[in-house]
Amino acid sequence: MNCQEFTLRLDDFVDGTLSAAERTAAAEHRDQCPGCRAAEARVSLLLAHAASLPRAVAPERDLWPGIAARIEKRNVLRGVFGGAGRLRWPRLGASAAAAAALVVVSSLVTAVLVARRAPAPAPSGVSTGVTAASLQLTQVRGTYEAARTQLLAALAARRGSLSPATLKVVEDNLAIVDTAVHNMEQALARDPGNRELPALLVTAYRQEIDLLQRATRIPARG
Amino acid sequence: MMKRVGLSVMALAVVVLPAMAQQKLDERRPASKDGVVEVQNVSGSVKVTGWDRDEVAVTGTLGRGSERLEFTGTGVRTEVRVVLPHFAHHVDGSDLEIKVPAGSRVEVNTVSADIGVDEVAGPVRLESVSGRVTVGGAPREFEAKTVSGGIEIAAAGAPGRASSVSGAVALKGVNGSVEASSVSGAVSVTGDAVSRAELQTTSGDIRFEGGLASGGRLDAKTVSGSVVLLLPAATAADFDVTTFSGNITNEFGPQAKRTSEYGPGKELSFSTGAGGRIVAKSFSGDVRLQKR
Repeated sequence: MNCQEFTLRLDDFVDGTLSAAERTAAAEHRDQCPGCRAAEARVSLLLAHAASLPRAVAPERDLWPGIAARIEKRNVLRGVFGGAGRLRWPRLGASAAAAAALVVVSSLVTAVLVARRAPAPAPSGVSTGVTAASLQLTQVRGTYEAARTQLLAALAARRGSLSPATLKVVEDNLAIVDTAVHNMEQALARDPGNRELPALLVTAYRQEIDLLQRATRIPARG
Repeated sequence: MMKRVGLSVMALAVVVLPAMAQQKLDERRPASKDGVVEVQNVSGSVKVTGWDRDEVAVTGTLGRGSERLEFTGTGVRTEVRVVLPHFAHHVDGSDLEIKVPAGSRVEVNTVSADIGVDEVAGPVRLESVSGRVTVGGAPREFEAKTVSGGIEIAAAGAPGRASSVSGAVALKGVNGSVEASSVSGAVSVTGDAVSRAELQTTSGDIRFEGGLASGGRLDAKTVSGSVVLLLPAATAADFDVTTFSGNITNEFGPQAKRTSEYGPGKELSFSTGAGGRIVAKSFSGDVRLQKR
């Protein structure tokens, strides 16, 4: 194994999810290569540090009223039937911001998927429950929650302009995704080393953001 | 005084009555062979068909209460739009039948109007809230989105993506690269030479019936829906199937085994030969690999 191959497998190596043959090859290379040994130490240190962090940090005060007021003030949600009854699909400030956030989510999705590679034997080594995949999932979750908050506010401001039937479809499906997210987060809390759950969870995050983005772009009367 | 009132009523009738009645449409404009045709309609239907003329023709009916049909264009871009009054309480749906040069790029947005596209060779991009979207023929690529409307794409060979929130998504005769997703609607794909298919739901069921092209890849992911993959008995592929709390049944070889020390996870990885790759993952839904 050379340095490039070792770097590609570094996350799985510290997670203990490499096959036995790959793990042996990676360990042999690490023992001979000071640079890769240092890289492994850095990742292991980061994981250990992350494991010591609380799962959530509450803000010192409730920030939401201020955010909501600013969204309201900027009037990002205008009527969607513009001049002469033209069907206009809204372009929302909140939606644009969330779209940018979604790019971040998407890139982190890739990171989670790369960190969680298939088939692997029983885990060994790190036993903190914090893996490279779960560390990246924590970053994804933060981005997801910020985008979700913005988009829910945008949707709340548009409730009056959507038809009751459409609103019901949106809310019913948001509840479905929320339940799915809740169930998977609970499962992940019980089984933090599970290699598949982070990817499924991120898929659900992405579906919820996509659903909310679409809901905030539905034209009036829709 | 009475004479003035009478004149006012007549003037009002001249303005209002046309909008109150249903109007027949029959208009056309020149358009380039591969220009963009953009259509917007709130309710009713939009049917777009490709033809071999360099013009766009609109027929059908403008719904009672609609203000007018806006039909404009520069040749490279043609717009067809049903304009509604600002404060209409009730407007009937407009049914538009639109002929476009076959090579056009077609973009349609509706609220509840159904959308149908056929015999168009250019790319198609269709979006509706509750209308149903159907595509036939052989567009170069497709993108279809709805909130509650169903989507049916029978455009063999076209790469593209289709997604809905609660509507069912069906892609038929696929032999290219496609993505299909729905939150709670079912997703189904048929095709005998699929090069890549990414299928995703939250609670909707996923069904794939067909085969992979050489080196093809199939990814099916759901949280609580079921996944059924109906594949040719001679499928040569690497399989990677996992579920957290569902069941896995397999007609192609080994049975699934427990993988998690703490949870009820099951995993099934095996190969029937070099070639394609098939991945199916669920949280609580069942996964079935069946021979066709």
